[in-house]
Amino acid sequence: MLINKYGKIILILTMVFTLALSSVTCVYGAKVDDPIPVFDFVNGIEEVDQPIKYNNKELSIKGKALEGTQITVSTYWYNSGNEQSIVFKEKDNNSNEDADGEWVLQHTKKCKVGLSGIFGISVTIKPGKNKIIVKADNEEPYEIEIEYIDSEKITEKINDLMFDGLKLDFE
Amino acid sequence: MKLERLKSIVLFCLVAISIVLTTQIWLNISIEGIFIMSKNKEYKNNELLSSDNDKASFIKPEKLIINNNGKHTLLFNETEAGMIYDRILDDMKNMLSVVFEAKEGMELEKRTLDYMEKLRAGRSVELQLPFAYDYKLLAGILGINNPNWQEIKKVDAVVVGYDSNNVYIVDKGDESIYEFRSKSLRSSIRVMVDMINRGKPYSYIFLNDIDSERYSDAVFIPVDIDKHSMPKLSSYSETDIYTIEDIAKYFFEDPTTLRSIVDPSGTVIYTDGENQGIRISKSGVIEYVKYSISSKNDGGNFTALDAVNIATNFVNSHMGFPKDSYISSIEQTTINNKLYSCVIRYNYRYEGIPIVNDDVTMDNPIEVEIVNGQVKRYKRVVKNIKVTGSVMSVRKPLEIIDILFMRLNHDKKIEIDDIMIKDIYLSYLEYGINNPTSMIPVWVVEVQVDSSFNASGRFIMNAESGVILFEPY
Repeated sequence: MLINKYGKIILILTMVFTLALSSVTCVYGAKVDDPIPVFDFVNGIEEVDQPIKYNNKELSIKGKALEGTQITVSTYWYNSGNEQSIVFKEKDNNSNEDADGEWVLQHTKKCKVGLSGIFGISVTIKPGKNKIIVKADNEEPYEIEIEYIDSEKITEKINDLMFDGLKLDFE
Repeated sequence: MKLERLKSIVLFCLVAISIVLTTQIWLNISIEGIFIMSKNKEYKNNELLSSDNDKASFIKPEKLIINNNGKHTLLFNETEAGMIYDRILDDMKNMLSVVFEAKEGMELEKRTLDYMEKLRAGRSVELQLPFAYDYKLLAGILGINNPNWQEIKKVDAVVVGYDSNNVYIVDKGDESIYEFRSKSLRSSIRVMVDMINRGKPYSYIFLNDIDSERYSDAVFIPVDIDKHSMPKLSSYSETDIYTIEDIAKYFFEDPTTLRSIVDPSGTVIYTDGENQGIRISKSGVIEYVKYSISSKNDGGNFTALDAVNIATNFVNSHMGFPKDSYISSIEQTTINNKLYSCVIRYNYRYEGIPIVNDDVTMDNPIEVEIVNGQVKRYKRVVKNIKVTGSVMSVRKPLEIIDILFMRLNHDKKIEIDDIMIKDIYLSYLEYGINNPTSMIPVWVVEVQVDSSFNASGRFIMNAESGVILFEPY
């Protein structure tokens, strides 16, 4: 009975907290405006701060190359070996990769550049750290690191943590 | 114990009711189930036409783009997303009205056109209008007769930041973006966009981000549409649905008292021999002309807004508008600094996709010319559209652009650097001579060529094969 009473209070508080947190993550998402660079194999690529923070599961890789160039886009995800890590809390930690972690190849997509001189490939990324390598025939490949923050996953995870083991039967 | 149980039930009921009511408010639909939208009715012959349209409903975008932190999506006014599309459009119009009317509490900041890049990189909805509206005319169509902020001359696009609810009015001619901030600017666009994003829409890219010399900022293409297909359609002209006499009755009370002529091509002409007449061609082109209109510019107070009102009312009462019609252009002619004539053109889309008539030179299926406040000419070629059983796959737009460059560069010997792609979009093209006429999905590419050889204009290419079906010559 006591658990139920407190359970309901905890439920209400958790809902309020979760809503507040999800708006925080959305606002945080709104502030993220690091552009994904154009992979220009003709004129070169602009320097960007890495990892690039990104809020979408799907990522468009676009660029410019000479006609006939074969473009290969490979996507890697950093498996830190730590299940609980859903957000990289400190920026400085990004460079200090977990000793147990490893980069896992997710997808490889290819396309050939036509007369338009343009290529575009859509890839999906996973929450956490991702690495995109864009290769063009004999050119030096471009590599960028992207940190995908899935706000929905964060909310889901918090819900799991809060509600896990909590009996909320209405008796 | 029983009291606790009762409280729990009441609490549960309250939560359930709040969810249902919130859903209703968000979606503005009858309850068929939570988040289940009502199915669209099947349209019978000419139920597509309506005659009670308000002029504000004809303000529709050429493109409605959702920008979400680097991911871009083009939203179509199709059955699946139609309700969300309409809701976003209504919210944007309401926000514009608030901006136009605001006297207090509205902050304005003028920015340069470069700011568009930042808006597109963030979270915003971008409404690209089919042409640059006169600021006062746009406000007038929305019902605001004396709007504030009259330093704004034209409106090419409207952008709403859906986290901040800030409104941005883009005037490309002035190379300016006017940012409006106010607590009174509210919308449900963020909720609508979240719903769109849950549907995993296609990702689009702006090609001018990659090469601004070869692609205009309107070139906006999906990156990956490997498995995308579109249904083939068939179309009937209005002369297949109505008899010639029925059509004539829209314009004359008693057509039997008129003189009628049938020319060798089968076109029927009705005329009263004095004031007005209509031509009805076998292919479905209907043209009304009023002969007796004063050529002197005596319409002292005649404005473009009056012209829009007159044209809209005239079409409403003369055969009506097809579903999803919008104003596609307004052409004004002035004499002695006074408006003399105004041509209002309307276009329509099927499932969000524009229609290209078999007469590709008639871009706009409905055209009304107003002279001195009276309808001088009215022309329409509207089709009744049906879905056929077959579908066509759609080729990637980058492949289509490659085929086009091949045609211009290899066959017509035009330097690649002289070619600029102005726009590319999917359409339906009437194709063939059978009745009903087939309508096939096509890619339309608008090209500008800066060289002595004139190949500028519109290329129409089969969306599946990439074969060029029409090109400028």
